[in-house]
Amino acid sequence: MALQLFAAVDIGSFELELSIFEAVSGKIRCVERQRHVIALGSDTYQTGVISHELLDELCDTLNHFVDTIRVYKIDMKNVSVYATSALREAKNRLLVEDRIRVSCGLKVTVLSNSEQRFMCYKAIPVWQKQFDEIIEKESAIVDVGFGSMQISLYNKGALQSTQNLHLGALRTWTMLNEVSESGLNSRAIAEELIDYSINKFNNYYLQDKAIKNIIAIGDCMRIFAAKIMKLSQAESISALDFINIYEQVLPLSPSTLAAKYDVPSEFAKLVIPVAMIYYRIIRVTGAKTLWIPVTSLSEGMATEWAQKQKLIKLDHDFNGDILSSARFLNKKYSGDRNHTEYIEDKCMLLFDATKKLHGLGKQEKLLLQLAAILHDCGKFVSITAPGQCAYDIIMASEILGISHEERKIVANIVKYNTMPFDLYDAQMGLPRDQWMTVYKLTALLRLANALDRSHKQKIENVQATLKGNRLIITALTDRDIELEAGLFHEKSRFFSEVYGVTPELKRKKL
Amino acid sequence: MDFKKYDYYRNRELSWLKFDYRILNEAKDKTNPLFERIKFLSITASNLDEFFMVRVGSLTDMKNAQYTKLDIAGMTVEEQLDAIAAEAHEFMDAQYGALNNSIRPAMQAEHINILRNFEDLTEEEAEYVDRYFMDTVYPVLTPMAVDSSRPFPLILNKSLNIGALLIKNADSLINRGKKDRDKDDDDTVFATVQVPNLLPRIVELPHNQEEKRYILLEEIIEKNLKKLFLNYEIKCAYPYRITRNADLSIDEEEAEDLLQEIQKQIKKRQWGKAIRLEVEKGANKQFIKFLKRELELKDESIYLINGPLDLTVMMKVYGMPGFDRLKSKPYKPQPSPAIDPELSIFDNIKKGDILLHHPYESFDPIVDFVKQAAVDPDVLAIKQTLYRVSGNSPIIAALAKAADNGKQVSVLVELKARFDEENNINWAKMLEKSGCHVIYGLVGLKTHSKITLVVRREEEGICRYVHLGTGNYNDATAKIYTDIGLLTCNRLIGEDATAVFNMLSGYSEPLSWNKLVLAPIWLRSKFMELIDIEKKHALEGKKARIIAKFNSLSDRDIIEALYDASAAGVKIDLIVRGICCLKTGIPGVSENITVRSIVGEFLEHCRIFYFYNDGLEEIYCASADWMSRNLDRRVEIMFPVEKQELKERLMEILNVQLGDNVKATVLQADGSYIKPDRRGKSALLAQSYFCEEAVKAAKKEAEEKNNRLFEPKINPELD
Repeated sequence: MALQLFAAVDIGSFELELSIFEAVSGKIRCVERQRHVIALGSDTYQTGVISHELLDELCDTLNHFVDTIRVYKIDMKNVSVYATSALREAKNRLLVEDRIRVSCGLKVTVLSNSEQRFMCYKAIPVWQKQFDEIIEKESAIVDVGFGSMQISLYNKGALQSTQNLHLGALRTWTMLNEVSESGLNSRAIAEELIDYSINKFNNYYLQDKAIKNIIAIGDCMRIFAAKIMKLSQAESISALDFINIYEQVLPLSPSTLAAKYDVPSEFAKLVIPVAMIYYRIIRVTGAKTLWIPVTSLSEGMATEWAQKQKLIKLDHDFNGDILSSARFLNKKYSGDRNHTEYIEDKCMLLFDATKKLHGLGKQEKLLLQLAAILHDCGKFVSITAPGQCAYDIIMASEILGISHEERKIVANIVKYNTMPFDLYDAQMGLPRDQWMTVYKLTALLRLANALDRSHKQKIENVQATLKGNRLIITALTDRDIELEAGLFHEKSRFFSEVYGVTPELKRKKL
Repeated sequence: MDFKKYDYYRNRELSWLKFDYRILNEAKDKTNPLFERIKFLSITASNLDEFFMVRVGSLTDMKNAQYTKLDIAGMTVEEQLDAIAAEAHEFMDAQYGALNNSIRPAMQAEHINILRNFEDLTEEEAEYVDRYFMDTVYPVLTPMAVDSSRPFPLILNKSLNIGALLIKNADSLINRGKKDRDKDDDDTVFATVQVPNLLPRIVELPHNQEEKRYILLEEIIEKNLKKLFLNYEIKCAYPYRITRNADLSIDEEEAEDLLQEIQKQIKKRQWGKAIRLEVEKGANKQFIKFLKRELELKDESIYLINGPLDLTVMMKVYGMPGFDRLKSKPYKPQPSPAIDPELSIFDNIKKGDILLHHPYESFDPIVDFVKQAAVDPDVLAIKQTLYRVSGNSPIIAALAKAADNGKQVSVLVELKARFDEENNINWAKMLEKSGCHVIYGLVGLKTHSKITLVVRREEEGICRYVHLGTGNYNDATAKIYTDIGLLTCNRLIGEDATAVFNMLSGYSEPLSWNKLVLAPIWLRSKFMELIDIEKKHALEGKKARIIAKFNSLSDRDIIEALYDASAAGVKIDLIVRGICCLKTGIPGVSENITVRSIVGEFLEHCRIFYFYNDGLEEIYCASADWMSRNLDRRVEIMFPVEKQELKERLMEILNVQLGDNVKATVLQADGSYIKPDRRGKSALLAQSYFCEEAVKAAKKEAEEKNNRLFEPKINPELD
């Protein structure tokens, strides 16, 4: 296939980055990168808004980026502009987006935390070939950003859980700075503060499980690796070596770091706090190896684009990650595993059988699958109000790989699985196309649920066929399914309401 | 060991004067063709003019600003100015000594006679000259007298003038009117007229004998001076010339528009304070005193000249037609065997890195590089830094054309290139008009690096073609300056090149560099590191060696590091054309250092740096010298040459230069330069050697090509 070009613009909280990628015969490569340091984050985090001065500078730089994009003659459909927390948290976000649209002709997409992290992850296996090998063992992707960090645990090749901690480069630096001004032993205090967050994470998520590998991503760590540890592209370093180097540079001032190691001055004050976070994580988890891929959000954007354009095939199964982390979540809230697996399976079967009716695609199928996996988790909190509780759990948990809106869809499907479908409520909370999705998928989940009222998975084999305005569900079983059959009519009423098709349960002896 | 002692360093200005002496020696060297000697003499003069305008100018500024810091050799500003004045007087005497005692007789032997005085004209010639004066010269002269109502006029920098002391004619009209007004008892008046620089300074006389005879324009004017001052009696008249301080001081931080600010400053350069007065030897004392007072000069700034003023005129002599037999055979730069003329320059580079050694090898591939990029449909962008370009530059034309063809063309034009500012402003404007994106570099830094980047969209991906050089993108000087250029499509260098331009446009700085080393931030520490590594190896008892070739060495830290390395046992051979503040032969300090200088027909200009590095030899080329200004106040690029065969070629260049025993001179402990001992060795002249090698290589390539093309096809059936 001929050469294809893509431009990724990352409006980060600390710098703007333009990356031009090319895709040729299944490979993506960055051909040009421009960085411009602009502390949008400081504005947002301190005042809540992005000032006009910074906005001018932002647009000025973006226009310069647009010039470069034009040089490569890249079509605007192959340009992605993603913004992260600085814009996400800014009160004047809409104004900023509009200004960028009007003066630079760029449409900004603001990523949620989980989308942002997931996109970063996506690039790792593309650039770090051993990724799947690494995560066969207990591993954690630790992404320390400027405002917060994300820890995602992997084992046996799949994602298990992910958690955001309010511990970032800028935040830790401020902390260090404040205590060092007070003349106290700043290192000990900072370590204690970091440990507090990390220990909490350990208690709830890690539960003292040993971690073998840490995959460190994030700009500060990348700079620490390149400049101070002198690692070239995508290399690993043993935890011991890391600790040695860390101990050496810990007492150095930012200006010494900048001079001695050629650390860019704007990063000089941030690399030590970030290294400190990794150091404490290594201490807590007992990790042996630190992997530092060269990827950032831009590579993630390129990976996403290339995948959509069918220019590359990802080896790692990211949908598998999404599902496995959902299963992990369900397990955490003691969801009935046999039942949910059964429902998940039947949902998929029904989804496929009714394609003509709902007209939904692959992504919606994934949402349904997630809803099926998580539909039972609310009982952990309340057996009488499992719908609302499940909704709250899902909304409060992060599911990497789906957007905030998609998470809302999943939560709503689970909620309306047991609660009466409130059209008014659904319409208020979601845009039209999304509540329609909720509406249609809820019907499928409810129907699947009707097949296992007893939670005993009595109907092992099911076939579903659409015949005129009837959906014939053939249950192949020798067992007694009186409960299911009895309640089927009632439970399937909602399905008929949505699709105008009546499901009929037929039992067929084996 | 303290290597910082002032005694260990030589003042850069005095060292520079030594360099001009070495050129003067070429003017005296009878083994050079006569007209080449004439050219060398002219070069010493134009060099010295610039030296006065810039170096003496800035020292004078420092003196006026009461600058107290000592120079590298521990001299105060005053001490330097005094020493320079003494040396410069001696030097100019030596120049005219060479002219009168060596070159003039040689010219006469060739039947070329430039008359010294109009008194030497024959009657017939005198008539011709007078007619020429009235027809051609008189209409463009503007004589000006100086008296109480007419102040001393502004005399243009470097212009040649004739001054005269006049005595009023008792019965002139002017005088009568004046007598009524004031009763000035001193009736001597100073008058001056500029020798028009639009007319040729050398005027050929009609001749019918074998001898070709010429006279200088100022002599013609002097002869006819009476015609300019009709009512005066001429007491005496002499040519004189002023050199002015032309060191521009531009406040970049304050300047709203750099381009406009520089335009303003260039105008001012004409009127900087006078720092040198040249007057014909034997001129009237009153005449000199008058000029001295008007120009506020000290005695040591006055130079009495035994011969025609302004020897840059010798370049005009060199250019006179009909004397090819007295010049070196012109050398034609050869095509590089690495470049197949049937392929595009891009395909050529794709085959592998190409190293070019100018002027032995032609500069055309570089011009073609830009020209082909301008019309190539796959080229997306062309970016280039320009410092000095030729008058009618084909590169500028190609860039303009590229912009016309819808390519993104970014050109960094360095407006601060000394004495090229005006030229640069003109074509910067022209480039802007044709749609190029012109940037003027970074505030406070001169962009001296020479780099061109062509971004091309190819089937296999984006490919960047880069040219890196040690010399300017000037097709005219590329025929005279020796330089190294590298054409490459190495991905890592390409990425760096992109980063260089993004940095220069002020939008982005890369996190790290792959291959290139840039001043002002990284280059100095890289050099220090490389020197230090050699030192370490020497201390470990390993072989350690540095060979470096460049134009000037004046940076204290680098010299100190070299002393340190030398003391540790590193063998250091330097080939330094011009200034060298390092002293050789200091016991325990610089015994392992040799310095040689090559002054030849071509101007030595390449910068090559070699480090033995315990066998993992590293070799770099750069746009920078080992001067503080290059390392601290300029954007410079150093690039490694990594392909084995190209490394070997650079090594050969260094070794041949180290072996030169004809044009090379070796720096002695006392600061003098003497020719190396040639006993038992055959003569090696590096520049000629490279010329011959380039011709041979080109010939061989052409022959091989012919053989390939005309392989006879034999019909086997007929055989």
